[in-house]
Amino acid sequence: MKKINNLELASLIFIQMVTMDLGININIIKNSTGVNGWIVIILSFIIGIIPLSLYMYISNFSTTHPLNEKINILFKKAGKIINFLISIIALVIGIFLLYNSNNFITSQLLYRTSQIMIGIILLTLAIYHNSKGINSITKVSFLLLIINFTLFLLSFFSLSSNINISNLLPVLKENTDNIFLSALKLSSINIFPIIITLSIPKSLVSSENTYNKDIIKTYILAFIVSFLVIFTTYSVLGIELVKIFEYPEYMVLKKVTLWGFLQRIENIVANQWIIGNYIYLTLIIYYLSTNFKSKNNTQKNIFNIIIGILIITITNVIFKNNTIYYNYVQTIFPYITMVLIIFYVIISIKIYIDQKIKH
Amino acid sequence: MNKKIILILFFIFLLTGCYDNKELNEIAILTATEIEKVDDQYVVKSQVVNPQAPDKTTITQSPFIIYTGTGKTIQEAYRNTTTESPKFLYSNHMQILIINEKIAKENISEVIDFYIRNPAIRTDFYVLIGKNENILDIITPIESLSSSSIKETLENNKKYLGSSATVTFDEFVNMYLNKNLEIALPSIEIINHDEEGEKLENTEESQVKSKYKLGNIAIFKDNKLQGYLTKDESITYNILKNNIQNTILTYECEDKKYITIEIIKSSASTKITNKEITIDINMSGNINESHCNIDIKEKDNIKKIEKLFENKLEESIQKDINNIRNNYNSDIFNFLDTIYKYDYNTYQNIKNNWYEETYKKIKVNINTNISIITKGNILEVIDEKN
Repeated sequence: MKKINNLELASLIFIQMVTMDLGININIIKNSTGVNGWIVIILSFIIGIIPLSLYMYISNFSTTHPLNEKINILFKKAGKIINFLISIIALVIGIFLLYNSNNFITSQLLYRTSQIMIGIILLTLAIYHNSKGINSITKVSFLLLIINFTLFLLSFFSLSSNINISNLLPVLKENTDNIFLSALKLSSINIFPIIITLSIPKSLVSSENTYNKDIIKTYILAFIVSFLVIFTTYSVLGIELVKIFEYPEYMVLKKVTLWGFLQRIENIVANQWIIGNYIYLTLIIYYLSTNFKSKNNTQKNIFNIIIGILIITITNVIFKNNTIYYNYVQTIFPYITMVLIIFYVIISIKIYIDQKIKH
Repeated sequence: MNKKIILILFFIFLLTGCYDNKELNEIAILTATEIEKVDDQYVVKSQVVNPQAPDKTTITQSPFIIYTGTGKTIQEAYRNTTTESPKFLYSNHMQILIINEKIAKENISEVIDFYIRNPAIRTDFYVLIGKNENILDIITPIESLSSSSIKETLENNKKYLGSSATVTFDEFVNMYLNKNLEIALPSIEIINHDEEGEKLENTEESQVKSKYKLGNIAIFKDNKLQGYLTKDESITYNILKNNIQNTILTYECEDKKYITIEIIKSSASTKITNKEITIDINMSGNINESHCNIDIKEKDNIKKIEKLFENKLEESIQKDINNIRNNYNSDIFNFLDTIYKYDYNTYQNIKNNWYEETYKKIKVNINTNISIITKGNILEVIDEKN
């Protein structure tokens, strides 16, 4: 198999860590932590260092195998249960991602289009993309990341003149009780799911020596981007408007003006999130398909189509409206992804014990 | 092969463009809305660009059309305009919203609710309080659309005088929602309103009979309109809120003789120190007009003018703040918000009785610093003939 460039892999991890910036991150923290949201994001990335370290530790074990095979090697029969549980969590993330992008598009851009229609287009593309293999996924991810990053920089520099630091005051005076829990929730939805990327074995990466270094750099960059998204949204809009809007991150983009005359470009700039959601969905389908042992590509494609149908059906059955969705986002979703930390820990401990026994 | 054909056919249905697209010839561009309330019913007047508008040689049709809808809610009133309008009213290019003062005195929350909820409407249009009705009906000179005319007048006023204000809808909502802020909005009124003002003939004479005029700033308390500031109070408000880009200050230099400075740069910062409010104002300006025989080549004389303006400005700001506190008891200068952000402990102690006990009594210190940069084209005094 052709090797994957380190940057391409890094782009996947980056997209995973920043995609939830739209519609999910702020909705989790805005009511419980008030103006302290920017502190929450800093804290969440500090917490995230733990799963990141464990991620790198796990990646060093049996570098030729993807995550599911590593788990099977480590836990034998019990590995199947762990793989099943991680797959369920990945599926849940996929469901939330799909609804998030569908809801964003239908509520802000295409008011009368049915969500199923958008879901079918997004998933069809993701399934097709999967049929082209992981090299194609990572290459597209890297190219789209460049577009995303350019859009992000354009929007940030344009908005920097609207930043009002006093909108972030007072610091740590109100709503301080939930800061740690909110940071943990953010960490669990932004950082814990990067375990899915372990479905790409380390040996597939072109430069194994710089693997860890590149991942750390990606982590720092993703943190800076996520921080700036929250910082800019809060400081430009103020907490009252942040609380009232469904997508404050998008509303703030309405103020983007380039070189004084390019206005009303929020829909172009907001593409960064739709692109992110699409790549993330593709990666989730790829991860789920690695658990399915197929004899040929047709079988794999059929399996991917089934996953797609499953995601879109569950999304439409569970989330009848966005009130139900936001209720789940705030109360259930972070706790589901939080379970991933248990797998990080048990896999790491098992690797450690096995290696001790060997030596 | 068959599978590919089926797939292509499937995509033909999905990729036909936006599902809910609207072609330009199917929509009417709405540029402004005026909301009034008559007998508990909202009356929504929508100003729509007339695509059949005349060119400069043949004046036959008005450049805009006003569609009026009535309903129990604003949305209902908007939709009722479909009984008059042949096209769907497209609100994404709305420039101004005029809320009649009657609504502002009663309940503005319903207006806010409609516009903030609607994703098809941007939130960057200006909001004004209409002192009388049918403001949008007036045909204006220079700018054919009265909405554009009002928008540009607001921006011009901000640039060159500062007696009004430019408040976008999201800023307005922020003031409405924030418990520490009070609303202040620009106002507008019609002078000499008659039916002639709604005809194209209104602009045929050099002295336009019916015209709109920006009023001073409308002041709210607890989200209800209380009244209007004077021109000086409005300028003071804008100075303290850093809304001023450019204004003029005129003070007496000798008995019944005046000197005018054009302020070209102004910044104000409000702090809380020892439970007192301190406002630092820094300004730079040019001498634009002087009726007094002051030799401006002398450094000391410039210093004297600067000192005179600093003292007079300090005095007038102090007076305006006190007037507003006494007359309206409304904290439009955001003192409570400043205390909340910079002295949280004091805020906790005073927030419940802010208006009853603290606001009127809290000491406000004003520090002004004015630098005169240039003195116009001349360096000499325009002296009278001896």
